Amino acid sequence: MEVLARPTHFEERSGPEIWVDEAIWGHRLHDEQSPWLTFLEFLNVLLAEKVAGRALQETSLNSLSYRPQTQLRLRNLVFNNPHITTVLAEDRSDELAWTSWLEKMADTAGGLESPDFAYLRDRFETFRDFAAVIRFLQGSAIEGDSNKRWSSKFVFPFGPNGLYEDVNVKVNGGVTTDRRFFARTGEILYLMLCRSQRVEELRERLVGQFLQNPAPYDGMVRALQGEAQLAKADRGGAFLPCSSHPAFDRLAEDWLAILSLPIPAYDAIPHLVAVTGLNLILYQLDRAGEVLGSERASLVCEIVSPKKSVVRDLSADSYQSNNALPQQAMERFIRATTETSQWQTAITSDDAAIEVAELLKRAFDWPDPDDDDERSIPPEELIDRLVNKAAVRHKQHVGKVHMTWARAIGLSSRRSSRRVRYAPTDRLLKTLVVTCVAKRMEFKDFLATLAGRYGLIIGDHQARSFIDSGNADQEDFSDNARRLEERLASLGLLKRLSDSCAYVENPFQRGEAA
Amino acid sequence: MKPADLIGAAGATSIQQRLSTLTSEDGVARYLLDRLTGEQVAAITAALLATSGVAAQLKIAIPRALVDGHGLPDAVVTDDRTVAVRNAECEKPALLMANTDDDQGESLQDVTLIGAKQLTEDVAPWVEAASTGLGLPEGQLAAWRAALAGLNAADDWTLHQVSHFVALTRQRVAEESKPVQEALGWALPALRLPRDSGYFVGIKDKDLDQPRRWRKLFDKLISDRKPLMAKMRSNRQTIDADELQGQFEQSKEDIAAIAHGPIEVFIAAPPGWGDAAQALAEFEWEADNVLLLFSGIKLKKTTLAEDTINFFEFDFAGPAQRCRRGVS
Repeated sequence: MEVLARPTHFEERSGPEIWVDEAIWGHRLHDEQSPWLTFLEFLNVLLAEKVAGRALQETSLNSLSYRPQTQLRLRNLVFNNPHITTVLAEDRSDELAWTSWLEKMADTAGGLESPDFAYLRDRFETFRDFAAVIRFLQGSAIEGDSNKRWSSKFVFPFGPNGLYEDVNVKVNGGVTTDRRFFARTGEILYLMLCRSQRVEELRERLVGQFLQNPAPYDGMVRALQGEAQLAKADRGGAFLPCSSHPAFDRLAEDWLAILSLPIPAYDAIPHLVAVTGLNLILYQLDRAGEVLGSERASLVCEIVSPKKSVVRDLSADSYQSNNALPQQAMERFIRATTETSQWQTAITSDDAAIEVAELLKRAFDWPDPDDDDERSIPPEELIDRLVNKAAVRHKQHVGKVHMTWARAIGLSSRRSSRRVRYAPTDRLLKTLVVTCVAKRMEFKDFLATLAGRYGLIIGDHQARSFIDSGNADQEDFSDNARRLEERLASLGLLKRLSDSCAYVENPFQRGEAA
Repeated sequence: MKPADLIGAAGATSIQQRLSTLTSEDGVARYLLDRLTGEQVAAITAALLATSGVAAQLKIAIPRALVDGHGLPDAVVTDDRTVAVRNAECEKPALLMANTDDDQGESLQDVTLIGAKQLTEDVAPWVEAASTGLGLPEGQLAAWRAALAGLNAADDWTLHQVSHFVALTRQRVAEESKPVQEALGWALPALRLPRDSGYFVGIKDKDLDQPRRWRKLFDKLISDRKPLMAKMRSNRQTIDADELQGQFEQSKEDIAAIAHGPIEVFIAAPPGWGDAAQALAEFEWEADNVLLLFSGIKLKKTTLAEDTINFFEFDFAGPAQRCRRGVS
């Protein structure tokens, strides 16, 4: 695996202010971009690149530049349209309803140069039909019931017509990309898949299932939007530091497993989202481990038990220690500079303070060359100051990714406890079964797969190190596995046969099972 | 006495107690050492073999793979599968087997299970085994038993932790002739709690044999001091190294000088229980004034907005939310 240097175009002013988290994980992992929004951003990149004839192909590393759709007519109709209810309440004739609604819309629609929605009258037989379609799209929206601004709400990605980027629409009608919720994590995801070994198969599946054969609902979305609207400029600046990584391959394999199921693409999306969240969390931990030179992180999962148990404590400990890993890695990454020969040369030179400042500037884009105060600080203090500055920045977003995403995908919970711990929900368990079990798999092999693939420790065979060190009894983890078995059985995902063997079954492949 | 010997002795005593209640009308009593490690099973078996009278009553058949290398005689080791042993003819009134929860686990549920939880919850054998040769009066033994019962009621502990706790308590009584209350406070590091010999001394004589009283004290230790050793506040917020460092500098003079080094290491270590916390736990909480390191750590102020989010996301697991998250 090659770790790539910062591309030169980042030296423009608009790039990140310091280059630490980005150098380790890429530009960038962002906690406020939920796994769902990450997936949507990914689809936007995929669509734009497919239109440009290079879906999932990087012409050269970190050169991604794409022009996403904005679909402002569609999103005004679905998310910036309180008038439908008012007009329906007035209970006028169809003709009057349309006229009244069109007038109101012309006044309030945002981000459009000429807000004219008259074309809709030809596309819907009645105003009520139109209202029903809008209600359906509002009901199935991503983040539809959140209190986010209307331009950060998204229709469910039934097909290419419903894909658009997150923007900020100003009161004066100006549209800007502020990267509030599409903060480039989807670009990271795109680059990861581009650099996975099975990218060819993925391209075929993704383009085939999401872009070329959209669900019928995509036609409805198209009727509302009309011709696609594109952003005014290309979006460049994506950066992923590893040219390849086992985490990319694992992610691609998980996606392929889900995409090969005999289910409609839109039913596969929730599973893709959950497994993406898990893989990105693991990528963050893997990279942190690589920087720290530590072993691969394990995630001890408690299958929620009615009372407090040893596994609950260990699971909370494991969560806490993993949660602290990224920041430790960030600090280590900076301090590792002091062990280089360049550092030694710099601190022994006549003008040590300036030399060190130059060295740090090249590596981390800090301190500011114009800031004479910072350039005259002694080297050790300068490093401490950089670590503190990077830590403050890290804690705002990158440091929260593990916590926020683990909760978002149902991996962590604080149920019946004051400490957050790994305690997977039924929904995540189902995704894991759907992803890891081709047709059916013996329960103990399933536990071994979860541990080998994701580092999820549930059963006693996987928890050997905790048992041998006396931190748990075999019984504790064996009971934990038994609880998982019972939960999977209650979800219809496991059967215990008469020979006492328990099998985990992929519910979508049941008909295929021997 | 080593912790493993104690597990052996406590396990053997527990089985002996069961054997003593057998009558000739009963069928063969079948006991299963359930999901214990090879070392633990070997320790219990060795202790049973060393007890006179047991051999006549008990047939022992332990899977070889489990206890290989632990020096048990061939007579008590078997190559047969445990399900086969269970149904085989047994000429003695009782049979002792062991399993490792492999694929036979389901088939072995119907015999009397003796696992880690059964062993830790039955406190009398531990005290009986650990007090051998100490000549303690009955009052002290009763206090010891009540303390262990209170400990078990307060939290879930592993066999390893309980055996170390009991072994350390015995060591303190045997080597320093300390009363049991004091020795129990001294042995707390085995439970990942800071040592505090004086902690239990305040229990009134009439309460000494009351598990409830002990439980309250253990509860308090677990809620107040255990998180601190993992660098967390009682509400589980992490304590920053800077805060600890500031507090240490303020109270350094009052803390025993010998603890200063380990405290520095503890402050630098990542949060969570580890070697640094273990080393710090060895110092007396009150006598060495280690408590001063944490005495000024206040709860972090949270805003109403944060509290509200926390409440709805974590504490208010209402039906709608559970349904949305797919949790039954």
